[in-house]
Amino acid sequence: MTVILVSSDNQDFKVDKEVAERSILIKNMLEDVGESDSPIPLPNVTSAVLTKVIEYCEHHRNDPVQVPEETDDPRKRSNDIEEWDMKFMQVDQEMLFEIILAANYLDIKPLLDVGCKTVANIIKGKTPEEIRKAFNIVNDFTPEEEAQIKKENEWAEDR
Amino acid sequence: MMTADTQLTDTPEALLLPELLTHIASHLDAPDIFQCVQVCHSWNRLFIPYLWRTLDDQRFQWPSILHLHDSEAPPGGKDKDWIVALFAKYGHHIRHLHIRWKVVLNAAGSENNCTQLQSLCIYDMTDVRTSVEAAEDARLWTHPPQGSGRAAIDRARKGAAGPLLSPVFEGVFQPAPVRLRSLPQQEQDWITHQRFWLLARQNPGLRVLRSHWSLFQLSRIKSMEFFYETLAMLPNLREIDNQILCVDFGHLLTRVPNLQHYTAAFLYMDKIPLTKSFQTLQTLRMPGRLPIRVFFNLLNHLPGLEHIYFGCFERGEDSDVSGSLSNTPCPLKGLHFLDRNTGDEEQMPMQVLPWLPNLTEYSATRLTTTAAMALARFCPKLEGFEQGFNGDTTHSEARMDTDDNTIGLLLGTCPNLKKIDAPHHRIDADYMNRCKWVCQGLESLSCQLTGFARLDSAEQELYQDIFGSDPDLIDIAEMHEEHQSLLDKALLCKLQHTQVYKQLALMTRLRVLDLGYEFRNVYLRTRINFRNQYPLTNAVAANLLAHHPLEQTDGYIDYGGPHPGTMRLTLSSGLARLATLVNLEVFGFEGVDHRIAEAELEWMASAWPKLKVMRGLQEDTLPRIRPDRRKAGLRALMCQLRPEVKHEGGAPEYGPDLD
Repeated sequence: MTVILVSSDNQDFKVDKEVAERSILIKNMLEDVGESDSPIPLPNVTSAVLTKVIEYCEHHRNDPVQVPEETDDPRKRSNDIEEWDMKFMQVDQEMLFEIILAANYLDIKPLLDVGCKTVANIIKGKTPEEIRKAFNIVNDFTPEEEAQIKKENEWAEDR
Repeated sequence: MMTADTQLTDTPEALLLPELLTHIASHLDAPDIFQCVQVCHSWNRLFIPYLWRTLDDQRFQWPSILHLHDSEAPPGGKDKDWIVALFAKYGHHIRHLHIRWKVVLNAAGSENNCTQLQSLCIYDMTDVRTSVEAAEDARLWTHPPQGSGRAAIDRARKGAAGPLLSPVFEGVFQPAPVRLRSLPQQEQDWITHQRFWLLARQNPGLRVLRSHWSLFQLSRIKSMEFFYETLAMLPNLREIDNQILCVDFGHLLTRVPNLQHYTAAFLYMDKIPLTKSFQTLQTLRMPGRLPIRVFFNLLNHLPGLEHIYFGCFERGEDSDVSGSLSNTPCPLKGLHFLDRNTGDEEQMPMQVLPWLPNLTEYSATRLTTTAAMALARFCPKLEGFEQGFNGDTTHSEARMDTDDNTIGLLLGTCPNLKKIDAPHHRIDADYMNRCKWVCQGLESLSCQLTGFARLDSAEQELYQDIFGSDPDLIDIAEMHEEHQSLLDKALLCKLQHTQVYKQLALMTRLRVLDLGYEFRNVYLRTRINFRNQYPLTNAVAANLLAHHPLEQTDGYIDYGGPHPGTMRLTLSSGLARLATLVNLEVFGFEGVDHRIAEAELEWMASAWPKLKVMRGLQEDTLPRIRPDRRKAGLRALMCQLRPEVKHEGGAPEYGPDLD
């Protein structure tokens, strides 16, 4: 069985129901609507992004449902990204954040996870100035504020 | 590969959405989050709660800050008041608090600074001292406070009390006996202990509460009711580690009915058996000896119990307990012995194991023949055997008394085995070949294979001289009797290897195959003889050498030589049969007389694509060891072939406490 997804720029995407249901949003919509052939509009996702998202869902169509890990200890969490996902995420930053937003909107937890891990990996090892530069963020601290934040939190430095 | 450097024109929308930022933060450790809070105001707001979510005063810069906080001029003005102010500002973000420093306990427990805790864990506080405290301790050591003699003994017995922080502490504490604490120090200790209980009582969301016996040194709790009452104020408690008080277990469970995990330093349950059932307890861990009838009392009343850890069974109990288990089949999954032996080793397996048909894990320092037979017969679901630490090494001259082949028995009879972690246990090559393994799902095997008919170097030479490369060309009828036996041995060796390789090759799920065990021999003439006592980890050895430099003690450290009768791991002996082990991640052969050379490494590098760890070629980090150039050369080759494969030792990270 297939369903038709419609991107924000009005392109139709015909995909297997099983693949589309990797998105919890779509899965719930299909359950609510019942058997129906009507296309599902996704006004927040462009065709370029939807193509990527579908590619991801195709590849992971048979993955078991993830059980969220109940650990609060960051040391126990793994930041490993499997090889295919790593390659999949090698896109420009604009696309990376589009994918993350789409995964968030469509409620595809594993894709959101991989996206956030990728961003976390970009942040890792960078100074505040390098982070600002990477993400085009303006520094709105006064030097006094900067000094205070540093003093209060520098216990977390890894020297 | 990452495309971080492509310049964006605007801050991406995703990086301003709180829910996404917190998601990203969950993949970062504190040092990186510390950078994030310095980026801009909105990031600061979003990342600060994550930075402070888990506070562990043993990590990052905390120890160096805390070490100097009470000195005359703490760096950056980070003194006690500053620490208290810091907790007042950020304490409400903390969910998980791990404490070793008394000053942190005091700051966190002041003025309702922390009220959102989900876990509160105290570790050994006796280990950490500020520089001022250390100097004070040294002074008291040379100048005891109030002279010596009778007065000192009285003081040691009594200790001093201090002020009460809250009326609820009335009559709860009594001074702990002290030796070398000045009066102000004792008063501070008195307060510090109260902070712990204040902190517990002002955090009704606590799920995990771990105490440490070092709290007990600050002052004693004399009111059991206070202890129970405090726990009863914490309805979400799931896990308790109680190292402070010996409690009535049934009473404790009544007050904390949702408890899932309980660890205790003492438990006098045999005096007060449980009379009611408690559904939620899953794990129970305590030291000491347990009579079998108490064990059954626990199983009867704790229907949800999955894992139990205790010292061993009480010996010499003659009463018949076989009928005393009522909630059969018992759901217990793990039976774990903490002591060196399991107590009543002959009777226990037959009395206890028949009642545990759902057992999947069994751990003990050694697996006895009776236990192995009982497990094989009564516990068909068994998935793992794990050997605890027992202080012995593989190569100790007085070989430890493990029964040979008990692991082989399990492998031959338990179809669901996944993990065998038994580096001190041995399987004899001939036994292995007689007994076909039935555990096709085996994922991890750490066990010695011994009893191979290996030719020693003289025999090897003789063999070469007489037979050259092909024994088939020799006329056996003409052969000298001595040579005949040499040939027999060589052929037996070949046959044993062929069969063992065949057997191992069937275990295609194996991720860990470790046939060896790290061993170091340390001898310090003037102080301690560690010979054959402990597997010394690098950390332990470094500690040891820091305290007793070899130059001054005329000591030595060396590695144990290869264990005789172990397996040859060469291509000519059949290593290539293991090409089926495509899932192998860890391969260990330390202490094995393996004869691995360049060709073998090249073969492994291509045959085992998932290999991550190799145990046997790692660098010798201890001093006074003649460098093993052969090993270094092989390691260099392997690093070239598979740079991602790590070389490390297999010895666990424990050893003698040297302080």
